[in-house]
Amino acid sequence: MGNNSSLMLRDEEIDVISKETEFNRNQIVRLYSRFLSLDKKAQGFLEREDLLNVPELAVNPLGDRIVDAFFTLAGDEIDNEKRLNFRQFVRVLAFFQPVDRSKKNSLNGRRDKLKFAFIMYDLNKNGYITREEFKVILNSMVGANITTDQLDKIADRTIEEADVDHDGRISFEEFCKAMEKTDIEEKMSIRFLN
Amino acid sequence: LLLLLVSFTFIHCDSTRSPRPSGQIDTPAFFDRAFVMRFGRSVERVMRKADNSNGSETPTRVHVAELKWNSTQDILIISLWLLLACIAKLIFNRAENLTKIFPESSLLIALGLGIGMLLENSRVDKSRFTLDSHMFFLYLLPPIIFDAGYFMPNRAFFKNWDSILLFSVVGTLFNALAIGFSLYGLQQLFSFTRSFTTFEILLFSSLISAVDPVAVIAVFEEININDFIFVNVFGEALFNDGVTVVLYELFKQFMVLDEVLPIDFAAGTAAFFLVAIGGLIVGLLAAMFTAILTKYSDHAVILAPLFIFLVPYMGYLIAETLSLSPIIAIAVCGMVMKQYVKGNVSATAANSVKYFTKMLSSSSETVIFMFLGLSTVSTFQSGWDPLFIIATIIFCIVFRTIGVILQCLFLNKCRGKKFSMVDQFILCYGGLRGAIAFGLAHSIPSSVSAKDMFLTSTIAVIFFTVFLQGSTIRPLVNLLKVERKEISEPTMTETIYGKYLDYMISGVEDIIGQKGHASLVHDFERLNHKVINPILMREHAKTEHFDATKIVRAYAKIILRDAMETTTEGTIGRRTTMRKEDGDTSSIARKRGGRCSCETDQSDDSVDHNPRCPLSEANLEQLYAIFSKMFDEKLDQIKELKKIEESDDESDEICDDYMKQARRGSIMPVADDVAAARRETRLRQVRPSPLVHPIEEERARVNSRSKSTINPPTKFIHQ
Repeated sequence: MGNNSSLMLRDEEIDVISKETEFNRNQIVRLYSRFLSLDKKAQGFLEREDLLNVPELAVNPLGDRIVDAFFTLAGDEIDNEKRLNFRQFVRVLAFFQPVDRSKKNSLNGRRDKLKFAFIMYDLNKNGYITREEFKVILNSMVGANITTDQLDKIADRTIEEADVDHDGRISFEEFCKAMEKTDIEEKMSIRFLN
Repeated sequence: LLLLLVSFTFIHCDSTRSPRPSGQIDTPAFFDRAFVMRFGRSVERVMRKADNSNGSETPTRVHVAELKWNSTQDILIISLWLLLACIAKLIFNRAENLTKIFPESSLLIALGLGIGMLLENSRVDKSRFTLDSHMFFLYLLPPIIFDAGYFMPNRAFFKNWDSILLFSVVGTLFNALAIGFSLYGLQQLFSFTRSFTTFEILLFSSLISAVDPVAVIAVFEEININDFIFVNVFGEALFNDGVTVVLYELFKQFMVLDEVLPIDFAAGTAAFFLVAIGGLIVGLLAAMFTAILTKYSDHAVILAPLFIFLVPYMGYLIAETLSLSPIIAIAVCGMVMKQYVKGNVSATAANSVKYFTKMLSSSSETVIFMFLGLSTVSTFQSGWDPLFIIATIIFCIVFRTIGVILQCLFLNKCRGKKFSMVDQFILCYGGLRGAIAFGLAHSIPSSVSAKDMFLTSTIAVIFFTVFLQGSTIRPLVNLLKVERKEISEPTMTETIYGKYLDYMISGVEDIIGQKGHASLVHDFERLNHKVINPILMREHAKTEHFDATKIVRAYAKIILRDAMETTTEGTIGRRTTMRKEDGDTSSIARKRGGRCSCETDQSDDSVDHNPRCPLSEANLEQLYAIFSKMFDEKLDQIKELKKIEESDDESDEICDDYMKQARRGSIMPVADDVAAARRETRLRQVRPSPLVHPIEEERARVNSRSKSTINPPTKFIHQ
């Protein structure tokens, strides 16, 4: 499983990861050096603080949610501490690869990306976004400048638009449907440098 | 009659130019234009009298009235042309069969052509009504470019900055050189009616290779193409002015030099950077200046729109004075200025800016195209060389296609969003030439012997692109099923999730240590908020954190739209409850059915609302101010409501009496204070108040149309 504390990335590992995630060698090597630079304590895995220490992430309103999503999707929980090894790190990042429209699995690609976005919203991981969870996210995004009233109204309105079965919360399917018109493949793609 | 009046002014002006001895009037010349004069001989005589009375004859009697043509003729002519042009545009808007085939721009050119031929036969001095470059570049062009820059989709623009830069710089350069050298090479094989040197033909090719923003706007706006393609073609058209101007001036100077040294090429390259970047800087400075001025103009609110127009125009003029690119300056100014100015001026001022800009640019565009047609007649006297023209057109098309394909090949390797074959085809096809090329061709120095040939070829190419390409682009776009711009109503979901995804991608990019598009935008947003906004925007408009204003604005617009929809439609759909999991106060969700009855068929272009319809843009924004206050009040009242349950069955029917409806729908008794509040708001609706007047009007209109009545208080509360 690659949870070794060895800091050298072996060739076979690169090949395995490359096959799994469709990154090429150069990208994986580059990501590995980034992984090492984030892993300041040289433990061989990342913890939440390691990621939260990224300076730009601190000013990102969704910073901690992003970190949370990383760990939820692929981390192991050992001794009540979430850990992320390199392979898991790359696997999460694979969600953000540009979708190759010629490949027939484009439907999967879109759903996977949306899954990441959904998990970031779903704080208590019960598979639904409730109004309260939504309000928390909205609050962190738009900040304290709008009144709580406006916040409530906006949250209500947004939930109402997406909530097809009117149960007061948004399931993953409803989320996907709400994002139909958005060009997810394009918006949620990052061109990884070689 | 209008035409005749116009021709009279020309004739009279013509006659006032040359001094005539009193009493001797050039009768034969006047008689030649008999067919024009048929309707107004008496007017002519009066004019002559007026002329004589200003001349050497001493007046013998007191005049009851005089004709003062001399003092008003210039502005009268201009106003007449403008009026004529706009009336023509109005007529074209009505003639739908015609506009379905030809773009409006081509119809205006045709009209100009017609008028030109009419006036041609009256032997009026031709130089009076050609498109004066001076007037074109200083008065007619700036409003169009400013309008384009101000309403540019900034987001799409910055996402595609790399392709736009490549197309406008490299593409134009490639086109200019390729066309120039091919034509020169062709000259060695066949000789044209006029001969030209290398630099002369390069001068010509540099002006003919530029895609024209005015023509692009005119044609593309009608077909409502998606933002991606539009922003690429239009961005290229806008910013290739930098290259065109530099090349033009460069070759003009090269022409007079005896020999061209490498230092001259170096100077040319330096000039390009200076022109482009200088224009950019002037635009940015003008934008900042406008923002600061509007920030402090809260006590003299009426000045704000004035600043918004004046400062960019001055930026244009200053850039022109310093021989930088004025088009880039004013376009950049418009683009940058928008977000700061929107936060500083009131909604009414912003509205007036929007409408006035559109009006100015629309009328400018109309006049330009008409004058283009008009000028054709006068310039098409000599220099007509079919071979040259055909060669030019072919080379233009071929090299543009090659250029686009090569550049897209290169770009597709480096970009996320790739150019599909269809995209590339539209890019090639959208390379329209227009009035700027004509203006530049006109200002070719007369020392160039081939000037008239160049001029006619320019006109021919413009006609070809506008008529042929302009009219066929719409069916082609339909055929190729190019993605159109979605004129769907914005949903709250899209706005919020859009922002959400941006932050998310920015965060992931930070994690992997890459500075991609999203994180750059995010960085700029932070910089904007910390440093720039406090300087350029007013205190109360500043946001605490990141840009909340967009979300709040989107929300307000959506709510308003909903409210207006329910005012105009006769039905309110099923009302359902939404309960929170913990079960306290709930809000009511409602499915809305029906559409506004004045929507025209949506198969083609934009949905056009009747100007009186509340859903039209103008009224929507007007009513926003009214509604936002009311909603805040109403929502306080919602919080006191108990659960109201579903009413299925004949819920399409709306009760006349609000209380009856509430009773029908609710199981729980309605709280007393809430009932009182409802009654109060209902009374407030009924009581005539100036604020509510448009709603009353609308309700009256709808009531007369539909059987069931609408209950505004219900709607407001349940919002």
